[in-house]
Amino acid sequence: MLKNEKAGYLYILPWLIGFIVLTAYPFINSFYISFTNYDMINESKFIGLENYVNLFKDADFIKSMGATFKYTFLTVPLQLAFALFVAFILNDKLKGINFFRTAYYVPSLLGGNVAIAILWRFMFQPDGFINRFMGIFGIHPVAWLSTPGGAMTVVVLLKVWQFGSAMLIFLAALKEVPGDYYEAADIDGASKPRQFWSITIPLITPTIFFNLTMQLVNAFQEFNGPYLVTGKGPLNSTYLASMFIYDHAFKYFHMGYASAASWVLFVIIVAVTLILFGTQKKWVYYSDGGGK
Amino acid sequence: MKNMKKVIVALLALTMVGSLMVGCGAKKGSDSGSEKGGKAEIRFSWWGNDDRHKATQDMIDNFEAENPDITVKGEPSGFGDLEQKITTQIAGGTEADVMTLLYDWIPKFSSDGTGFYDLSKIEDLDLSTYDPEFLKFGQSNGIQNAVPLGKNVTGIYLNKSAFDRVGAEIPTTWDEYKEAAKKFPDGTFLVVCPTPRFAATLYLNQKTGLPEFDEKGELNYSEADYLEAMTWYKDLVDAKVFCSRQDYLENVGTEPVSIAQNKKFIEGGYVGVMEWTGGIASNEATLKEAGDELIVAPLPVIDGAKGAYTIAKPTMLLGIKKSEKNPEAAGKFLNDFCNGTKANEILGVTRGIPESTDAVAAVEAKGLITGAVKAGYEFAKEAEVINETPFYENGTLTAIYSQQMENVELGQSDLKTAAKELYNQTKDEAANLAVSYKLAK
Repeated sequence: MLKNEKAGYLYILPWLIGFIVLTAYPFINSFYISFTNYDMINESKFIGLENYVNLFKDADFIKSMGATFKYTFLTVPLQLAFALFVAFILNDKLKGINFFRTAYYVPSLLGGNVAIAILWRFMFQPDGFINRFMGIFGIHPVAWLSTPGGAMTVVVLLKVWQFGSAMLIFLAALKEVPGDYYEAADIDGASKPRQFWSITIPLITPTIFFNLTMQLVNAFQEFNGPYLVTGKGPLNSTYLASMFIYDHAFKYFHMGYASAASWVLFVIIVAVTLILFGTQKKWVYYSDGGGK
Repeated sequence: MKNMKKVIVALLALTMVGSLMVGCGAKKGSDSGSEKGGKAEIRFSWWGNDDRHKATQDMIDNFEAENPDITVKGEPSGFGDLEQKITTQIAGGTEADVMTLLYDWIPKFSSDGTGFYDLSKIEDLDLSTYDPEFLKFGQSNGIQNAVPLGKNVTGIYLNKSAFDRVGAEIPTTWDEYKEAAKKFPDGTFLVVCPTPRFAATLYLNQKTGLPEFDEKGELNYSEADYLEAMTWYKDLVDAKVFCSRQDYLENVGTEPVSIAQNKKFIEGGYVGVMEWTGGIASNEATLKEAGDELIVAPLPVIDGAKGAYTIAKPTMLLGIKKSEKNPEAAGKFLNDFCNGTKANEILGVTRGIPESTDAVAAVEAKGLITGAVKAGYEFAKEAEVINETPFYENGTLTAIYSQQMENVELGQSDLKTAAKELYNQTKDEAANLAVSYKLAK
């Protein structure tokens, strides 16, 4: 038994080392650094809660947290609704369905890479594809990149466009809904929308909960898309918390300050996740009664 | 079989741990600045584009051929995240033996002059080819930490062909710029400035005859000065002379970047650019490809100016790491880079026009200073300049200007409030920098 345990530990050793060196140590160390004025060049000094106090007085940080909340609460519902909608369509037995399932996943693979960011910028420029396309329908050009609302819309759309992974998880959940329920509902005369709201949605709530939690955590930490496409955006409208942390850590080398901001963001994410977990009793239906 | 499994598991674990140890021990095993089989080996890091990379590698090859006892390992990189890379390397002691540096890295990494090697101790390095005043750009606490390679001066470079197409004369005063702007189609701006800081400080250099900060990091301008400069700038934005922040956000982005490859500049939507002389070559090359001609415009002087001043700073500097184990080899390479005839014929003007008299003679004799680059060189030579301190290179200070002008242009603030914010934030950030650079009294 003991020998098996040893072998088991040896098997997980590579992961364990990676976890300790690359995740656990930086995580714990960043907590210590958040109480110092470490700048990578000069000797660091312990300064107590000064970084945390200054953060809450820093208008840029407050604004970046506001932008992060706005971004999160816009992208997550939109992305989930869109992913569920597409999964619902792809759940049907259509011709060439496997091709469509793959095609819809591609944006998630391309995600926030530099080429996509450049393409996205070009599309939303004053004479870009989007404005030209809208012009066909007589819609006036929109200043996407030079107004706070326009810039936020661009980065939200970029995130919503990457709905592939949520869609795949929804698709798997939809496949698990027993066909008998729909047959019984058909016999009772329930319409398709009624079946969707009363059968499909309740039965996939555990998946909705999982996707919602994952997307919320991801959105709070979003960096690539806004950083590459709009930067800070007009009037810092797309200056998310992760970009604030990056700037202070790697542009200004205020490592202590950036670590404090990371910990504030971490606490916010944990709080939002806990609130979400607290609500699941009211709307998530587990087939085994939630493990009770 | 069971034993076999155990052996495999143990081997895998050892390999994993071993590779990590190798990774962690990289610093100790680094052969930077070392001697290998009687041959000195040094590392040289620089940033730039492909043209510069190729010319630099060719120069290294030539140096190695002329100095068979020294091997130079080139470490080229782009400009993005450069400061992050260098800071990490310096913090970890893994920086290259010879490296190109930005102006503000001297006080940042060597506030007391001991952060880089004292170049006056290297016999093989001849600095008599430089103006002693110019060499001060590379000094910290009186110690020669780096060699400033060339001089960057702010100027205005215009697409002459675009002016000819609308039948406008090249303007010489700001009023003439306003008049000329009326002749161009809607949406066109005569001068794109990567940051309003360039234009505003040019105005205040001319008005006060002083740089933005003194040597102790104290601000030379008042809130009223900033208000005057911002009002002047906004007036020229409204007259379509300077590119508006809104247009910049739409067609360039949020950061101050080179405009040379910008679509609107190539298409003539931006008719000119206010930039360092070091950027002329790229701007000229781009317009040449589009069939247009770039010229160096006469620098307008504001009303009531103390002089026809423009801003000056070094293009970049070259330094040697403080713990250099092989200063003779590193110094020999640095000397060839700065003064070598053949070396500079190869390097050409890929880093702007060099300041060393030997180097400039080499590139001139080779006929490498031509067209707008030559005009820019002559402009820089004759210009009445005000040398800015390393604070001028600081990105946070530059961002304050952009942010405040953006607030005004997008209706979030008025000029008076923006000027007050600009003054207060600049003063606060300068005070932080002064502490960090150990300039504070």
